[in-house]
Amino acid sequence: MTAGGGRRKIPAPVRTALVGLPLVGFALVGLLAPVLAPADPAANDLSASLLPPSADHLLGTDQLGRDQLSRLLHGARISLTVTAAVLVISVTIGVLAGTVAGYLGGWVDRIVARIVDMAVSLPGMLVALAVIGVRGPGVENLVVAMSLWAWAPYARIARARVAGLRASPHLDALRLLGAGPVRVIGRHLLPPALAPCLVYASTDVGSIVLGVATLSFLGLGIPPPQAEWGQMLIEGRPYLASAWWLAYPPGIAITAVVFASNLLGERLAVGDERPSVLRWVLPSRLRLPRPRRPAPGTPATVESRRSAESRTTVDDDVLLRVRDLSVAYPRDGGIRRAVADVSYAVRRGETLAIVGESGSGKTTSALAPFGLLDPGALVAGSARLRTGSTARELIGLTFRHRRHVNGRQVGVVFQDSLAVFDPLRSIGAHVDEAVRNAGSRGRRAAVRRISEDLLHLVGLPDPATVAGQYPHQLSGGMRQRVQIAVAIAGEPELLVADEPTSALDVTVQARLLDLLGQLRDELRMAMVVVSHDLAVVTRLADAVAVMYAGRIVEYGPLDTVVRHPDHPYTRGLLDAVPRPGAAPGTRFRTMPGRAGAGPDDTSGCAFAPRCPIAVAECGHDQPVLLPVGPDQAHRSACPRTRAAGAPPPLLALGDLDGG
Amino acid sequence: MLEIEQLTADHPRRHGRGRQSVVEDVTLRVAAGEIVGLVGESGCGKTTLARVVTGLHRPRAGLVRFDGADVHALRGRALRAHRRQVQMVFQDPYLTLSPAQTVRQALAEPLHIHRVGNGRSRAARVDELLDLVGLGPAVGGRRPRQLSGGQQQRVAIARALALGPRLLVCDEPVTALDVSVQAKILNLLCDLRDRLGLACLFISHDLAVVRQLANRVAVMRHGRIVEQGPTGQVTGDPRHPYTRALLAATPAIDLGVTDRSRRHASGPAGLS
Repeated sequence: MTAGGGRRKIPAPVRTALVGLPLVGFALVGLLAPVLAPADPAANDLSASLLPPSADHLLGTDQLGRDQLSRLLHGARISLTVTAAVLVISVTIGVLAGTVAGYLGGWVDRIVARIVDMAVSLPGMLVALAVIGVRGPGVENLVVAMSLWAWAPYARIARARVAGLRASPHLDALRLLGAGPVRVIGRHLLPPALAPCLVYASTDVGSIVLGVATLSFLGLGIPPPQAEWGQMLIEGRPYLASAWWLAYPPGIAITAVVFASNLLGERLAVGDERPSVLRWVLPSRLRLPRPRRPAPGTPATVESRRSAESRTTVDDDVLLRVRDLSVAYPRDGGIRRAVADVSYAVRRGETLAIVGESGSGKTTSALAPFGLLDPGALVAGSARLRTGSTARELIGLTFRHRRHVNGRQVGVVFQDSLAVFDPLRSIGAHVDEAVRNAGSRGRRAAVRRISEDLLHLVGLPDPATVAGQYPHQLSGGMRQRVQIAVAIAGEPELLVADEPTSALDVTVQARLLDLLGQLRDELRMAMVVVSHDLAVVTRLADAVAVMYAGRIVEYGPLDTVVRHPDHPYTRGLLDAVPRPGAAPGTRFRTMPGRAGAGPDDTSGCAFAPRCPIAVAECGHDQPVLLPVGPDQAHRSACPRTRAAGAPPPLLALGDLDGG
Repeated sequence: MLEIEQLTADHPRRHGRGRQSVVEDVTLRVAAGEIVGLVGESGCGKTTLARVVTGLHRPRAGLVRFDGADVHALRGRALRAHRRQVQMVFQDPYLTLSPAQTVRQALAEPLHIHRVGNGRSRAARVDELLDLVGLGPAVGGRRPRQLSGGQQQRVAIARALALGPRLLVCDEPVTALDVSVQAKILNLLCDLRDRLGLACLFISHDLAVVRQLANRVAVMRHGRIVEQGPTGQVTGDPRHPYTRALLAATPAIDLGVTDRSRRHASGPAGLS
């Protein structure tokens, strides 16, 4: 199965199944031992004692003339029985106890947690020895002895998992629907708690098999004459030099099972816990059929480049010029573009807004020039950043060179202000670091003074106090201000802000946008702002690039784009914004369908399926960004509106001006 | 239908002792077939109010009455019956749906809980619900992570509607969604009000949305309602300075703001 495909990559579920194969083999051998074994494992034949491997006895015979192969197979059966029993008992007890404790919380949780702590801290072998010492050896006692310490880790895993889920709105929703605790626990908490436990169990198989063998080796496990691996080892020990076939096979079997179980545990734990187990069990149910995609690199690339080059304008003030930027990710053995042929430019003191829905490639387009994407991203095209009189190509910069650009010439503000800060370091430490990175040498106190000035600059009233606080102690708006302070520490010429206000309240949002605008003017920075909300960027932007399915569909001065949108998608986006003049109860205007997936999913216009004015050609001709009317600055990628002449303004101007 | 009277609610303080009031002396009414918008910044107590109204959180003082009955005094059978009348839609649809359930399973869950109908009638109801929120039958077999944000929120709304509630409490239902998707969900709520006579307490920080959607608006600040009234009156002639501040901060495509563009009359830098 592995060799057949040559260099072809084996899909993950198949690999998991392959890794699990040895354990499945172990289970099968154990189950089928009575059928597979050529002889009775307990049948003595002193005339045939200590025979080396031969056709009659594939693994030879022991000192009592018993067939070694049969004993090995029956040994697997005993190991399997004990392992299965221990796992069933300990997973059941552990998951139930952990789930109930995690769900109920309070004193129940505290008691269960203490018991679990005790059980985990006791040395398992000693507990087992004590139990067997009291109750004597035997399969049942062995199972009891091993379950006593094996359940605790499961309880701990399940409890942690459920405690994490307890606060989630999903349980609130269920409670509101009227679901009782039995249903909540049984249907909604046990399955997610069980999944990581099963992953752990796959590793536990090895330790239980080893434990059974160890106890038997010590004469405390399975009593003779039953065949058991540990016991076979101890019986074979005196003959190590003379009859190697006695000790080696059980030793190899134990090692193999332990290895296989650890390997499987490793494999399952790599991915996200729940799906990989499910995928392993039910490979087909979770996978959606995916349509085949056309090969990347459509002919339109060349055409758009030619059209762009034919109108070279000399513009010295342009700080960042991105040309024909494409970003692709390797996926499913192929390469798939997330962004295709994106070109934009920003001048000093100017703000460009990149607007689009989730998945439209707006963030990717803004961050790609600065190497801020996933390391697996393949970036092509050009992004030239002007510094002084020279321009530096950003695409393909090495990490070392990039350090001189990021943080000094370019500052970046991300959407999730909690995720960008190290929760264990104070705000002051973060800003200090940015100040030092920007090239300030000097004593701590001097650096801290600069940091506090920066915090003051971004409108935090009491910089000294804020500097001593930790990220979680600040509100979202304050953290976003700190992020801005960090971003401007190096006095960058360009500030890139990725959804800087999306998670914030409107009032906070308005103040932050004003702050950004003010800083841009004071520091004469260029700015690229990414947002899904056209209304938000009107506060700040000079120019807008509207993106859809990884391409820019309309580009131009903010006023023109908002007042005279050309592309049907831009009009749809504008329509969706609630309007101040609308009477209460007016329906919101919407676009049919859902967002297009990526630039490589269709050969034509990605918006065509949702477009009210699309014709058949739209489905196969890739539209090119061309000027709308005489104004070279305003471009749109819709040939239909071009053909029809100037489109009527979609919103009456009275509407827009708040009438 | 829903009457909230002089409601005060609190949380234990996160650091230190005692309890901290988050909702104070709130009085609010929602009539049948009416959408009431509740607007305020994060931390103003909107969400706590929603949780008190739905019975997830106990108030310290005051009453929540639904059809005249005190919601927090309900027990057993009466509480189960009440659950069918009032449902809630949360901000993040992905977190409110069970990741392991398919859409059909999620929609059938409330029917199972309340032992409504048999297998066949439940399946029919699930089809009806999918249709009601504008999802195709193909969506039924998917799991939440295979859906877009808008679809997830539709599923969450459909599940809330499964038992035929008369009041829907929506806590920031569109905040996590793209503007274009947001409009569709809001239209869906309008439709549901018009077709089913559903009342809705719609909580949002975005006055722009509430202005267009709600029949009446209440503005909340620091746990208190500072202004309430018909939407036109509150947004057209705001009395409280805080309402005015909220209105001023509301993003809108109002070209008066974009005078910067006129300064840069040459438009965006050339693409070449």
